[in-house]
Amino acid sequence: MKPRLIIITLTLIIAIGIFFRFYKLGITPAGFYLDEAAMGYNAYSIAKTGKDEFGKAIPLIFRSFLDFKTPIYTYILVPLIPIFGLSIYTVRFLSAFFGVLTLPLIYLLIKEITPEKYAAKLALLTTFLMAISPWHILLSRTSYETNLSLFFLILGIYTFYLGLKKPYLFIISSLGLSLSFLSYHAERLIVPIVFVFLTASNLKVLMANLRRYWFVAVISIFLGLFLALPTIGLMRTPGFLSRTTTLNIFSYSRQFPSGYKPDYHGPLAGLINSPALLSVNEFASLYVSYFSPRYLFSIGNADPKSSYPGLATFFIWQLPFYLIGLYFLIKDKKLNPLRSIIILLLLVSPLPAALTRDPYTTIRALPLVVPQTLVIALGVIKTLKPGLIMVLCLVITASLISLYSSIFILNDYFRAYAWDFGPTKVVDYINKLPKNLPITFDNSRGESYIHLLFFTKYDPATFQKDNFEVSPEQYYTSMVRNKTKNLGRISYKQIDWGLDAEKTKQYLIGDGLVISDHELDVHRLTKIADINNPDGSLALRIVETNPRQNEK
Amino acid sequence: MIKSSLLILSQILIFAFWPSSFFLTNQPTRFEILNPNRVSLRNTVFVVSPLDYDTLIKSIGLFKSRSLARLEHNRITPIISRYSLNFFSLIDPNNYFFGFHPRENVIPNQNLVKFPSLSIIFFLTGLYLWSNLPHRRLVLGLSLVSILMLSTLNIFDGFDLILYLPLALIIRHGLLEFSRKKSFLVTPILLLFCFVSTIDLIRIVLIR
Repeated sequence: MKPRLIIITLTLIIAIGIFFRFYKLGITPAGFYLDEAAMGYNAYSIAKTGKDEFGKAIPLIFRSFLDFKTPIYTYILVPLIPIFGLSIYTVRFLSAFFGVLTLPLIYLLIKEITPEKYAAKLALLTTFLMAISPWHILLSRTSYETNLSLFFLILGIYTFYLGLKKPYLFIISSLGLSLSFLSYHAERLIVPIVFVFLTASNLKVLMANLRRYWFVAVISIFLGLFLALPTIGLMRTPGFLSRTTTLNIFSYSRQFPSGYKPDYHGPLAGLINSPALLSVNEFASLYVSYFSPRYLFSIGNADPKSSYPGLATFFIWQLPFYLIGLYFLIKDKKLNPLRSIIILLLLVSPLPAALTRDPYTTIRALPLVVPQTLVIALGVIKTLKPGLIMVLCLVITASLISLYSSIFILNDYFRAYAWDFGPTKVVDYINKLPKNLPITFDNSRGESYIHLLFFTKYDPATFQKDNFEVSPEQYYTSMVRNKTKNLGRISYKQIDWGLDAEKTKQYLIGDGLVISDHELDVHRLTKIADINNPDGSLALRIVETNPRQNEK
Repeated sequence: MIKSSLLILSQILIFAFWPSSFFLTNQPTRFEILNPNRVSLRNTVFVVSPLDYDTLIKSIGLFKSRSLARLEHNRITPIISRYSLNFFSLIDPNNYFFGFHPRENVIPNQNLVKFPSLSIIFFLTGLYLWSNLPHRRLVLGLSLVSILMLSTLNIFDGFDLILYLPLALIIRHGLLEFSRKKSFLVTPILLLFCFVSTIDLIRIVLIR
């Protein structure tokens, strides 16, 4: 292919990628998930006070809802807050931005490590399929740390290969891999394996040019350790381990392994209920599911936040190309070094996700999107005859229409509830309420206080002062939570009907389960507003109390 | 001697799993597949449920352009959607080797353990070395026709037993090809396979 044609095609592909990632970014998905709000507000809090919502100065991992979120996304957001303000768009911008940057990076990586015969075609087609990938688009349009982590991982791998020719680029590679390691939980397992593989598979070249490499290599290793060590130092704290212990299939602290028969106490109980055997079996089943056509091309991720209506992880027409591509990837040794790194990513990427209980989660297995998309592209290149190109173009056009309608029309209607649509809108209603009465917001489900903080742009210093949960010394170790929050006239706590409805004149806010029609009658509440999801289901209800004391 | 004994035991385990699982853990509905009412048009994907229609009408109403809406969402959409869901379930390796996912209850009885989980290695080997499989055209034809036909049923559970033979033959082929490898790992792997699969079979027999 002519270089000019390649540049034009790549520009068009990136333009398509930008459209699907940035169009209606602050509006779609309708709603703003609590984790997104938490990252946004903590960045706001750091920008204003230098401390997070709990008053901890520059945390290494963010305590947020005892999730202990990875810090990179939040810290990169900090300088954006004063420029763009605290808004849904600002928080999601970062993910979309790195999502778009990932596209040319993938092109460059494939071009660099693929034999000349396929390089341009395979790189362009893979980049195009990534640009329209429902999986990558969804995680680019929402604030997930995993998307950032993928960018840094690809950057680290690409600059490693470049570093073999220009050693100073090992420093960028080290920076990329370290930031990927720090950006998301799954990469804490993937990055070390990738690093060892890259080093081992290029050991001959590295050793042969040791004189050229050693100085930069030492700096790179020190830089990587400098960035990663503080977080590694927290590895034994309950905070760092919290995700591992709650989600890990090999952790039996909260539940039996899958398939455990508690009623069976016969002589073979030791074998039949062996936790090790059962857990290994579950791990294998989870691992295989990341390659299963059923998940990839039919049902996708079952979590409504992690897929688009009517779309799976990949388009259904990509199935035959996936199978053909897999066959050629295994068979065709001429594809090295691309083949070896892609097989490694295929095998390693699902590992962290397969260690957790949830069936097929696209968030934890995001690095898999690159090798699987490449496999599909390889299948297309290996099989497509010139006469079938028109057919493929038609199929792709239909896919783009389907993608557009699913992202921008259907998702906002059918899935807004999953994106915390109600809590996202509630502040608009609160602002219209008379200021003379206090408000109690029920905390039975969700963590909507973070939406209140985010959308009211509540002063972080005041919030930290009024809401003690943990001292800075116990930030990573204490697992005690204070679920009651005070935000000026708003109390975020469980509604006590006797006290809150019968004795205090105030506004109550809760979902349809807490403030049901029955409660309206029993406590003679005056309905102020119902906040409905776009599909008409009740998200939140605002009522005014009529205490019996006032009647007397 | 040990290797050939293990090979025989492995084949017995491969062929014993699905029938044992079907007849022992499926007792109340064991002969449900013989019920003629289950084989009627109303139990196929071609009859669209009111809920599917409701979703379809809502989806169409969301589009400004009626023709775009009709292109994407029409009477055939729910049928294709259900058919493809069944089709992909029937070609899902997790269905046959892990009962889908251990924590995923698809519909009653569909989480049957059909083949020993470790036999997925032999299944993949068998597929990879497809060109050596005896009667491969018959196996392919039977599998394809069965999958395409089973996908038309609302609930294919029970009827999918028709896939038992072709799949077992592919796994057996993979096992035999694997055992021909001159590697010191063959016997230990067969031993591990027999050990784990026997425990799994005991689970099926003891705990119905």
